[in-house]
Amino acid sequence: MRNPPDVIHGVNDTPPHIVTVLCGLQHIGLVSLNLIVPVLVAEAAGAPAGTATAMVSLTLLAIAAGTLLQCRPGRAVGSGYLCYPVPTVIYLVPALAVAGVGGLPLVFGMTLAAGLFEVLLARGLVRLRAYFPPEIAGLVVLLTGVATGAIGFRAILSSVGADGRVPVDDLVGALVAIATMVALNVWTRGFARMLCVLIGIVVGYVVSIAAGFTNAPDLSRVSAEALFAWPSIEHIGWTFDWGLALPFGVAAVAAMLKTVGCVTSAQRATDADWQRTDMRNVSAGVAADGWATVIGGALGGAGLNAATSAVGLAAATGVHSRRIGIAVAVFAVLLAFMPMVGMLFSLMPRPVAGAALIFSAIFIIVNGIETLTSRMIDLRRALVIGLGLLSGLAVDMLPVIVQSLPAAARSALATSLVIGTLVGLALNLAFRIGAARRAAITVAARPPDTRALESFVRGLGAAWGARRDVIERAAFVLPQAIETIVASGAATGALSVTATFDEYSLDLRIDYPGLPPDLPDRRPTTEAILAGPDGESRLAGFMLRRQADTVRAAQRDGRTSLHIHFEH
Amino acid sequence: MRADSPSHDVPMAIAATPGGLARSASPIALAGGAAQFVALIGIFLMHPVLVAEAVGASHEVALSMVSLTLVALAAGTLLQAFVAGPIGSGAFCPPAPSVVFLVASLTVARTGNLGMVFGMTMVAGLLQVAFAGAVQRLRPVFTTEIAGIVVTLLGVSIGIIGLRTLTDIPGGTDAVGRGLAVALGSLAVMVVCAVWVPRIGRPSCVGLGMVVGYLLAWLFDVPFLPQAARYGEAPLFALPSFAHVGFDFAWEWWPTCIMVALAATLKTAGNLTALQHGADPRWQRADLRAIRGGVLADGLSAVLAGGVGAHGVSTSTPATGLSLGSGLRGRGIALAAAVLMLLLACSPKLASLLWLMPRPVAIAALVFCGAFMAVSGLRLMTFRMIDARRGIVIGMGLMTGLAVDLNPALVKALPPAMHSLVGSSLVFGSLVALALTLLFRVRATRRSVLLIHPGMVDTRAVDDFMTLQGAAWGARHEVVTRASAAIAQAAETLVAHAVATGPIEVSATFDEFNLDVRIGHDGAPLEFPVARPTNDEIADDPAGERRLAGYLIRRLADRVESRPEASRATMVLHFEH
Repeated sequence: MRNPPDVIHGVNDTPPHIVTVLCGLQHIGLVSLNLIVPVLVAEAAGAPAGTATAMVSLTLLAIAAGTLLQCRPGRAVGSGYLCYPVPTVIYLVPALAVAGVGGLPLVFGMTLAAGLFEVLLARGLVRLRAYFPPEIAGLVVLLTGVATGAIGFRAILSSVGADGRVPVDDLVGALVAIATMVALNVWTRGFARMLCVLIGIVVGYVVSIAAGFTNAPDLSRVSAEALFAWPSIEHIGWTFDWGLALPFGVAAVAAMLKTVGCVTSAQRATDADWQRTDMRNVSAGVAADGWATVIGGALGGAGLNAATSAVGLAAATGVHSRRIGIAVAVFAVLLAFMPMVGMLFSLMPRPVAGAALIFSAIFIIVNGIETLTSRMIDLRRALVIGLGLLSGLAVDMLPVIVQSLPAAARSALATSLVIGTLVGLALNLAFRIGAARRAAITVAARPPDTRALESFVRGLGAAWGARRDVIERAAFVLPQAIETIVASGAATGALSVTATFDEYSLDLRIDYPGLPPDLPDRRPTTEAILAGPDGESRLAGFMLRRQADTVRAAQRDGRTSLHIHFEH
Repeated sequence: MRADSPSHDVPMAIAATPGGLARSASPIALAGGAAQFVALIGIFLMHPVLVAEAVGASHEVALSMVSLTLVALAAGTLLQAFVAGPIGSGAFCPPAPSVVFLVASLTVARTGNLGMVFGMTMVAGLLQVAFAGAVQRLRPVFTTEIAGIVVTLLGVSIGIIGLRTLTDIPGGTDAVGRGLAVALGSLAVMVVCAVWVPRIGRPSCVGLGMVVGYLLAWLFDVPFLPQAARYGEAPLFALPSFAHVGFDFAWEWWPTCIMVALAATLKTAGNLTALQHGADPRWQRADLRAIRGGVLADGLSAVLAGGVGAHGVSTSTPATGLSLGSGLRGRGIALAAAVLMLLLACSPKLASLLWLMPRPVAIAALVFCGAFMAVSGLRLMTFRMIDARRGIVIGMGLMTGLAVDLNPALVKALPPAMHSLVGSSLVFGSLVALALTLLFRVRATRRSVLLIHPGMVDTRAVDDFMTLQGAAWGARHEVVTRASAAIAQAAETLVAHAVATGPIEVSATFDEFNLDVRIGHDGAPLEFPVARPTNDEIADDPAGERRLAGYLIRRLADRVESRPEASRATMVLHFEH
């Protein structure tokens, strides 16, 4: 794996300690935006204020554990990417519905079960590899990014005043924060770029206080909190109800899809030679994500799910090192036991928080678009992407459609991510019917029509959803190979070209009556070229080899069959 | 290399109907193909009726406005497709009674003065004519990313506009459910026709889907629009009357006119770019000359629409999506569509069958066409290499645009001064992206140098160097890939044959049309033979292999040049962009 040129610290790199610590701080700042989730659940259950504080602390401990699980690369558990889990809206919706009825023990029990279900789903994911081509993976990533950005916008515009309008203060605060982030990201190098989001948050925070904005944090609440406290664990208990299995099960599916999006996005952002989703790694990531939710439920905290903003932040700053995960875990533990610091984070002005979310969403969105256009697109793929995207967005834009769904499916199924992905997956499955993976043409034994051969290969590439660079190489090699064969006079009759494709290989086979060309592994030495009568064709053969991944010739009954193989 | 330089991609339109359909098609196929475009555009003939009702005009006036709008549409289709001097883009990109005009027209209609609506329409059209003059100067800011954002937002918004009308079906959630079923059935027919019946089904996919949709709507008891009660009895044949035509204008409508003209211009530029990209396998950049002609034609058709007392018209995004999806394009179909529009103008009854269309059928058609438009936009966005700046432009433009559609209620919560700016996802998203593009031009460097030391030619360092440069320039992937390959090949040859003893200096400069790579090195210059060295030459001449390498570099580059100096040589590899 090779770092893309714009990455400063790749996932395997060890950045200097100061970078690790400061980036960890930056990440924990984004994590803290999600800590409202356990508070809302506690309130819905009618629990006392002390329980809400305790749930936040316990959730932070679960985050710490989940982060270590996720950032450690493992065979079955842990993707090794900076995709740590945070409390999620995905589990909030069913938890709120349950909390009022069955109390917190039911929430914890169901959350734990949902986590286990996600772990189970992870097992099945590896087998579904063939159904997650890059256009589906990109769609998942894109929808994840848009959903995150939409949450950001909602945060900025959340405090509607009595006149039904958002205070201008809020807009200014958000604008200042996001402008700082963008400017530092674009025009600076080094620390300023790596910490652009943290600095943007701090600037937004300070400006809000200094200018006396309506949404400015009330710092007196910070000093009211204790510096150090053990979280109470009195509220913990677990019960289970089969009747609620559906909403929580569907939430687990949504959590799985979001993790697929996050890990895919991280894989692509950290690998210059990325070609397709590494599903085994994604599956390990989903398993870690499930276990994080299990821990969240077991500890009496909230259900957790991979943070899109974490991946976006890493992409924006160029710091992907998994060591940052250790710093995040340490900070999470510190916050868990230090309510005063926790309060400082949780008072972050909402517009500033929204700006940070939007900024990190940008990078996920672009990553998603690049992933889904990384392959050539024909009509079928266009429909998969276009209808998947529109149906996903429609869910968010038009709640009325959701209301027409059956009640059981409504709550958790009706997220843009789930609907959009399911539509994309279903179409992709349907379109496999009648999609040929093989094509052939015949070429006369004379200097070839380069252009016709090139468009033959490119047309196939679009139908197959092949990678553009592989198709370009094949489009270069095919006419070259035929030119070499024809120029050496080896072919005595027409050449037939067959192309076959599966996700991992593109093979061209050229059959013709006549002798095989010489195809050396190594560049022939100048002496060999001069000495041997076939030196020149050996060199041409070598040149072909350089473009293709393997070239092999076989001869039988006076016919030669030349196999040109490209890895894909 | 010029003749066979690799293109970026095979557009989907080409992939299944080689060469398009228009040239070889029979008149019946042409009429059928054109009919589905007219039906698609016909959905929006609802707009003149809404405007007429808003001023409290009679049914006769509403029907006349529908007919006159059809006349303006026919004229607009012809103006756009047949280039006359500076006017027209040459593309089949028919107009529709646009949503862009609808919102403004309804606002103006509150004055109760229909003449004011026509005046506003004409002024907006004239403004668009004025904007057209500036189009060609916009090359540095109308990047493919911006075009991509415009096209994507257009695609998403027509899909969403369609779906939003689902709530218009009377009868509560049960009716919405049945409506969804009809829409899905109709959409499924379109998809099946397009994918599995490439020869017959694909060129008429939307038409067939709509026919099935009408049948399903009848079966599932999904009604025509509520207006059917009032307009269902329209005469089968009637010439439009001009009795309602009059003109008025008030200065307070200037901001509205500017916003409308801006939106229509962006929309036309987006539609035409998507069509150009879809029709040309070797597409490289937007043809701004054609777009200028297109915007001019679009403005003139709006002026004409206002002039004859019709609803404002602007190029249709659904029709663009349909052209991309069906592969139908060309002047033949434009002519056929214009004739059909004129015929419909004389038959209010037949026209009303279209604009009273059961909503689910319209939804299916709009979503299907919106999907192609959205994907076309996504592909445009990533057509060039992307660095952090371009990424921020794309992400912020798209996200702010979508946010408007995602949270319409929240837009209303913004200060009133911002409403007209933020009201349209297209205008808001595009303006944010344009502003950022302009801003990011500050301190963007266009030239830098890589040193390659003999003894260790690291092709990855070459790749990284060119990737970073290409992304910062926003160059095309494949041109940069070719340049990287040529640089690596040149460096390897120089080193392998011990031509270069000191470091090899690689620098690259870029503007929109040219990528020039200079490779400076010690020793004698490489040769770049025009013809492949013959077998004998390679075998006999010790320099034969070098000549073959030189030949390959020449094939990779579009032009090569060798500049020998006293002790150093420089080769200039020129790539067209």
